[in-house]
Amino acid sequence: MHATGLGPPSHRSVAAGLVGRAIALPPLTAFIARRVLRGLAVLFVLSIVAFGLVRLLPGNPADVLAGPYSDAATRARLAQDLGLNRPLTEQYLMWLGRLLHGDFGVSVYNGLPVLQLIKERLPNTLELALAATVVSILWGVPAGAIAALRQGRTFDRMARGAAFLGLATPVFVFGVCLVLVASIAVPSWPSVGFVPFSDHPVRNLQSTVLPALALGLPLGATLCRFMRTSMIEVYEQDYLRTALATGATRLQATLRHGLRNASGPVVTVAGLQLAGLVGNSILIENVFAIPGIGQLTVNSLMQKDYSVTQACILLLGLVYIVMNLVVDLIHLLIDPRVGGSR
Amino acid sequence: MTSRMPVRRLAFTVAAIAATSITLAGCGGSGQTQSGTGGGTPHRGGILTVGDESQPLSGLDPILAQAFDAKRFAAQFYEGLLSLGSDGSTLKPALATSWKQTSPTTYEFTLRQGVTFHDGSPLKASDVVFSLKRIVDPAVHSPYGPLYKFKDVTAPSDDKVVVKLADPQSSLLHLLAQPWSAGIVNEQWVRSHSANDLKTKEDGTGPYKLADFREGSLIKTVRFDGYWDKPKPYINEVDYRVIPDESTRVQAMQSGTVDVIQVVLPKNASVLKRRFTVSDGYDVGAYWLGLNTVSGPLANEKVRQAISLGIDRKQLISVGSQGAGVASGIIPPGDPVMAGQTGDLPGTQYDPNKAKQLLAASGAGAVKLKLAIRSNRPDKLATAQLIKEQLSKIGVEVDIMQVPFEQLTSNLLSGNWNADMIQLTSALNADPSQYLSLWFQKGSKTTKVNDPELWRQMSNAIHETGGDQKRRQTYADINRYVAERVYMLVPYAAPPVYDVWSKKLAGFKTEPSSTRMFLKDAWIG
Repeated sequence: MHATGLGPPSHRSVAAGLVGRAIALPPLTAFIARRVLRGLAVLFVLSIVAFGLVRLLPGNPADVLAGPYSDAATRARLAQDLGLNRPLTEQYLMWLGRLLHGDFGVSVYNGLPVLQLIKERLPNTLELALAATVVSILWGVPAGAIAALRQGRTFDRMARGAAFLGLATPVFVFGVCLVLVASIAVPSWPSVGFVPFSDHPVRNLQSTVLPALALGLPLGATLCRFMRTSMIEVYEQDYLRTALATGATRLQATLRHGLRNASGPVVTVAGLQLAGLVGNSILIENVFAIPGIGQLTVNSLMQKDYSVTQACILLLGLVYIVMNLVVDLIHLLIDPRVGGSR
Repeated sequence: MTSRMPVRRLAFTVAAIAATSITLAGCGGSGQTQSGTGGGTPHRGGILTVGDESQPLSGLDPILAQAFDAKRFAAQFYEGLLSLGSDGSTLKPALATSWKQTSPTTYEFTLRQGVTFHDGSPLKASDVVFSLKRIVDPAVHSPYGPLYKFKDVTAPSDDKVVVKLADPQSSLLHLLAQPWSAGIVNEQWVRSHSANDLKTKEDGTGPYKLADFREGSLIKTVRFDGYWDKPKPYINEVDYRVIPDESTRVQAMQSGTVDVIQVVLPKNASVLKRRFTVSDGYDVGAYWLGLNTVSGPLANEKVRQAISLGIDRKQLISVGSQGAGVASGIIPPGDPVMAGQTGDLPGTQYDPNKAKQLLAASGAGAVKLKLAIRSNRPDKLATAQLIKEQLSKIGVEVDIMQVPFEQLTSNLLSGNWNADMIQLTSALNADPSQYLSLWFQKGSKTTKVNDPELWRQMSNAIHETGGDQKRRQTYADINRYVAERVYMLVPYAAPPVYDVWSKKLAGFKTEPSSTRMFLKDAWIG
């Protein structure tokens, strides 16, 4: 029933329809507004899930903070002072109320505002995720396209082999191997020790190369496979056959008509992978000692730092929602039919 | 620092990461200072980079520091009235130049003159009174609070502080000598800051002061020019970078990115020994198997004794601990109170035949035990599996359950063990009474032992005032008593961490707490 496209008003959902009618938004804006509203609803549900999940886990911050050697009275007092004894609904509503005022709370451990923790770490993770995506696209897309072009030949077999290896190797194993190879090939290369961009841009880029390769090369494997399959499908389409029949070479036809038509599914995969990268970067962040969001999420989860974990889960949800929107918008650009037909 | 021999270097690094079991030679030293070779005479200057596993979880407030990560910083920023020698037990002057015990419950301290806090304000007797009272303030939640039995703390004059206790307490001076269990803070500064501020800021009297705190990546400290123990410290700047993964820390050390690290795995210590100075470690990490002696099969003392005799500790040391372990009781030999000795504990000699006889005599029938250990620790699992194997030979079946650390401690603290045995590894505590309270505290939910005699001995140890020798004896007696009644199984104790430092760092000494307490004596050679 929910039309995501830019069709006639009667097909729109009620809420978004109201928005569209009241302010008479242009179709694209209405489309975005609808998606934003839906995103907020998802975030609200996610806030309940996040709040409940972290409290389902055994242990609580008072136990972790006081440590196993503390006495029961100290732990009880700490739990009381941290507000852990209040009813869950009260705790949730208080948290939500502060959240709506832009207050994400403070970390139980280092006492720093959660927003500050995220603000300091997010650029590192985004930089890593972007760099890894660039790496994955740079090798995955051309390799997949060429493999399709040379289907069954040596390059195709090699690309498929590499893609298979990339899919089968755990990211952190690949990361450790890269550290070893780099420490032998270029001993002076800063293989560990992350430097923030604001401190030293050149060293920051240097220190991003290896983790970006470690994350990006295996990711490119998925893109390579998708690109190859998608291209092979495109080669069987009438318009490509027409292009070839009217005298275009296979390469010309691929560049002019094939790539653009084949890239739809690849963009979807790449976009969702970028969103997933933010969440999955923990393994690489640990190996390369990058203070990023993945590390923050997992550490706070282990240490029962409730407000930090909750904020991280919401952030990861937000990233997925935004990336989905971005992917849809790119689809509109690549293939204008998408907006009308869905 | 970079290698000119790539192939050999690859071999080192691969060995560090792959699971080869190289046994660590020369392990087991304890109670001895371990210091590195380094050239020249002490001189000022230089930057030292340390690679640490994590930042202080409990923040920088000294009296909240319990884990290594937090104690390391308490030891640089703050000081107690007294300090410890490198054996971890000799008392030395620090912020107090002298002290005397005027009655079994009264101590008088004379303060050092000319000491200033990092913000430039002078140390006053009132700061000391405030600091000590703050430890026992329930609102501060210090885990060390319950260890003190203050009746009153007063400052009769500008340079004197008098501590009156409600009961005699043998551990008092030792507690006052550790920066974490009795760090002296600036009253005015603490009062003008929130509890959260204290987690990322500091104002102590220690040799180094905080220059920059970057959550998750870097803590930068610089030499405190106003430090009282001149000309120390020698190193201008010490940067602590976070490198969570041990194999990455090893790699960072080998590539020269960092100068100092700590490693947990004996095989990494062994590999690094070829190029760097590596401490032998202190045997303060006892492999504890806490037993539920209140209900279940282990409530039967004969069954417990049979299990103790059915464990081949020699094999567990050579295989389970990769040769790094030594014989131990509940209080490990590396704890200064044990002075490197555990003595010959009763019922710990491997004797499978006697174990079978005892088991038959116990009338317990088929014994099945559930052992809960921490997940994701292959080194702990190896020992547990070996124990399972050994006990199967005397007819005892062990079911190993791997549980996340948080759940394990949660089960322990709530008293719902869901197991007959829980495995934990000890770390050096402020006082052995903390170990004992965790497992055996009278009336506590965690306690799975019901023995008034043990509680009497524990109370005696806390209130013993007959001097260090007597205090040691009472703890040695408890160690023996716990082994005799088999309230806990301890196959061995091994170093929980090894300090590793490059040749560029000279004059560095380690001590049992592994908190780099003597960094102020070291210089860049």
